[in-house]
Amino acid sequence: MTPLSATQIIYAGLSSGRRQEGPGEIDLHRFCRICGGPLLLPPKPLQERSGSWTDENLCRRKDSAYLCRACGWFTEGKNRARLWGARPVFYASPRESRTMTVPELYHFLREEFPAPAVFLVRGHDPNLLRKHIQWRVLDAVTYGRKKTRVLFCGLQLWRHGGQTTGTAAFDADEFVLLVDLLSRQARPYIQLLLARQRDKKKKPTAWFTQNLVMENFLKALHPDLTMNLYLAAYVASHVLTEELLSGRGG
Amino acid sequence: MPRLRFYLQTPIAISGQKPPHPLMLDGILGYAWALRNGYGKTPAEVHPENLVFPELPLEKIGERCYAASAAFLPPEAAMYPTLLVRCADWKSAMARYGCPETAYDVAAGWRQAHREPYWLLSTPYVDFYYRGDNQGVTGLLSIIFQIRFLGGKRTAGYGQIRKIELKEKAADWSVWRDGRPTRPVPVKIAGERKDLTPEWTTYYPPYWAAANNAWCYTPPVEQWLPVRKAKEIADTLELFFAQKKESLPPQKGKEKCGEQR
Repeated sequence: MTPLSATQIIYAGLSSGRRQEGPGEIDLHRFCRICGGPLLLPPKPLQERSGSWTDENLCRRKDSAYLCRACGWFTEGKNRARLWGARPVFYASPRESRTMTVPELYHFLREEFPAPAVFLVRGHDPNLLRKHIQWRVLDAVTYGRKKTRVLFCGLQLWRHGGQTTGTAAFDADEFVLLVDLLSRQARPYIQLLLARQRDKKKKPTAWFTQNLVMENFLKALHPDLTMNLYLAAYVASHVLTEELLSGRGG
Repeated sequence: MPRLRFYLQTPIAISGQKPPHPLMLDGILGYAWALRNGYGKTPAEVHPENLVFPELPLEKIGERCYAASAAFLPPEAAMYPTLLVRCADWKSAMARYGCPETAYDVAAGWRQAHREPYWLLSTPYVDFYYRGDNQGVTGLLSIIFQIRFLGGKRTAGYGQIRKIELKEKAADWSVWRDGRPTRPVPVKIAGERKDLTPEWTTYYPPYWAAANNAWCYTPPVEQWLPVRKAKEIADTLELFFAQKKESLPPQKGKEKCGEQR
């Protein structure tokens, strides 16, 4: 049986599982043009999609003339503020959805989480809200802890750096260990830098500290940066920032 | 069993917009087969019934599943993010709509110029393992060698093949290696395995066709993408931060304090 696609998981999760697959809810013999998942009913005819739709290259089943209820809802663009809010990480399973901060993602990955699931991480740029991020995650469904996939987009260093986008695929246990390792290695040096900032009567902000840590990680690990390592460095920079600025860094 | 080694001259470009997928030998050979048999890309290919399954000189382990591995990377492979420029596509717009406007807006819409996020996989070579007829495979490889490139952004010069080497006697890692799949293997062929996580993915060419999806056991990421070992990362960071600490200028205030003492 065709499983729910990423957009369908997000859609179901946003309603806390009320939009479940079931009799009269899903047509297993037809597919959604965009996500390729089973057709959640009622379908939306292709002709009714937005006139500004330009992402035809994302369509998984171009032989279908219908959009499922989830993709139809996403094309209307109502999801934007709700999906992202002010928090940069979004997690959804067919039963629940939640937004979280990057350090919360780290703590979330430490524990068992239900699968299938979808993880999205965005950078600081609010323009990303207009970029149909949910479509990019179509092939990045997490089916198990050992094959966790996290899509990240628009991660930016300082204000002038190029935005980095990719999909990390990892064993969640190994990823958590990697984040711990990166935080541990960077902590003494960053503490020293922050102490010097304070000596100059400058109060380091969270944004400054996180970018400072990330900059050092990128310099240290360049040029061999895999998608997993990039995301681990990004998460570690947030975790370390939170620890150091809250005084838990020792 | 044979092993194919593609020596590369330039990095392989992998799109950052979509989750990466491994390079598949049957996908590459399938493309050569389609070209040889005159199957071009047409709009009709969106219908799954119009897709042709390539008959390749490879052994099958089940219906439509070839004994041909995904790419294997050497330990020295590296990866880094980049942004590639895509020029404004005013020519396609003109070809599609004619000239109804006096000017095309090349700063908005699908024809706008922009930077696309890509990841460059820098590796001296990629390996593939298979079971099958060497002569038939070599015939298809001659077409691939004429195409000369692998992966994305081939027209920009990424993924250039320097040479292809066929070693006739190598380990048989065409489907499994140490109990883990080296290519997507459908659950209905491999049977239920408690130690592996099945994923909903394609297992035969063309790999872009979502209609081909099935529950499969997929190869580990460290086989087809570079993964740095924790010890190596720890050593790199330790050295880097030690050097940074040494290079920090002494604090003026503290020096004065020291002098006064």
